[in-house]
Amino acid sequence: MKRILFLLTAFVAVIGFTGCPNKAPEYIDLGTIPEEYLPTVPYEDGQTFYLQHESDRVVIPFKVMRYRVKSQGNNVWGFDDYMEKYKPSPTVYFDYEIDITTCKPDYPLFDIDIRFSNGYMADSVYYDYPARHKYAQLSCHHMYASIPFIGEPTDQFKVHESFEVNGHVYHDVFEFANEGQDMQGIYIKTLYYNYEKGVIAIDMSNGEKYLLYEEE
Amino acid sequence: MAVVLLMALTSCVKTEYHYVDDSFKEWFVDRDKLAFYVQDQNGITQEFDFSAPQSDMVEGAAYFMFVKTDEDLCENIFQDGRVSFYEGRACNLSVTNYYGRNTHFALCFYDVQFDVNVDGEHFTCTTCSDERLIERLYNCTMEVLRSHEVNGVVYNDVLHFRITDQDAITRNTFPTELYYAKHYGPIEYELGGEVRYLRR
Repeated sequence: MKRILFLLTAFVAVIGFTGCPNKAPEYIDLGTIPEEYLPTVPYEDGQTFYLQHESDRVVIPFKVMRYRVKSQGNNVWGFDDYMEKYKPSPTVYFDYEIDITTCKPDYPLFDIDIRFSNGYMADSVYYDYPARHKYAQLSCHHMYASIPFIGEPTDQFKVHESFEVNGHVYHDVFEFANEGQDMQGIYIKTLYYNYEKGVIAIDMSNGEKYLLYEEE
Repeated sequence: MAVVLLMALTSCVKTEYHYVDDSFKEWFVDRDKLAFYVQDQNGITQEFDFSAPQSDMVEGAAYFMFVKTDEDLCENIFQDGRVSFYEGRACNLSVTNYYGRNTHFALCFYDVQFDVNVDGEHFTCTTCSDERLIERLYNCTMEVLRSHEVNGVVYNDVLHFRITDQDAITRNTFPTELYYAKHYGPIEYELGGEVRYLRR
């Protein structure tokens, strides 16, 4: 009797498991990054900009590479509309774009990297930094900052109406403080940024500064 | 018979320990000097931060008819240093006593590894193990200085390395010259043939 019961149970279990076919994954194309977000990062591919060390002894050229890559993930943290419509699901995949700007110095110094997307940046270092709002993510020598897309609210940020650097006055400059925990050694303390020029100034923890250098 | 022979062989596996000679330990950065600053000629400061030296035993063995007959445990002492604006290890010193026959001194500094087989007096410069770099051999020189002065401080027992290949400089983190002192580590160096750093 026990044997029959066991066989019956096994049969039902096999039918139960095989009777639920795997749902075919669904792919949703989020298209390209909306044009209006692009000017959040003012750098152009191939451009060179300059930061001057406060010692006035060196002006460091930063070569800009800007490009977009296609990516895919099954979560879209930053975009509430999609989150409402498509709850995160292992069977729903989103195709989206990532806009990547890398600024490499012609000097043994730190890189500046800014990236944003119209989807979940699953392959980025910002995995633990989900943007609930529409931000571009800047990283530079262990500092991370969220730059709100142009047109998004900025009231939670410290913004200088005007900010003078190397004799130039810049407007609407974000001040990003490094909120890293247990920072050691020489690190970036504050970074200043605006939509027109990008990085305006960098204050280091040891008091040294890097300032945007523009010829008259 | 075979079992007896096997038992006889395995029962007499001899383990030999080969420790790094104390004189080499002086090339590691002392525990009270692990963090220090360097400054380049343009006033840009960076901080070096070394870990304390660590050691492990590298295993080697001799076999007779697939049966281990001898075992060697060779000491390897190593130490890593990181610097402010460089991803990964900027400096790594590794000293190994191979079977009591040869001491291998390997100093990896930024992109280049300076290798010295002390007993064979063999010296080479190659690319540090880094997936971003293509491995190659460089023309280089090494001399041992009794002393070298940096920023008014005299350091004794200094290794002076120079890369003489001008075409080797592919990145601005390529070291073209290095002064490395006993107990202190890097005291002066040049990257990319242009930017010179002095210990402060």
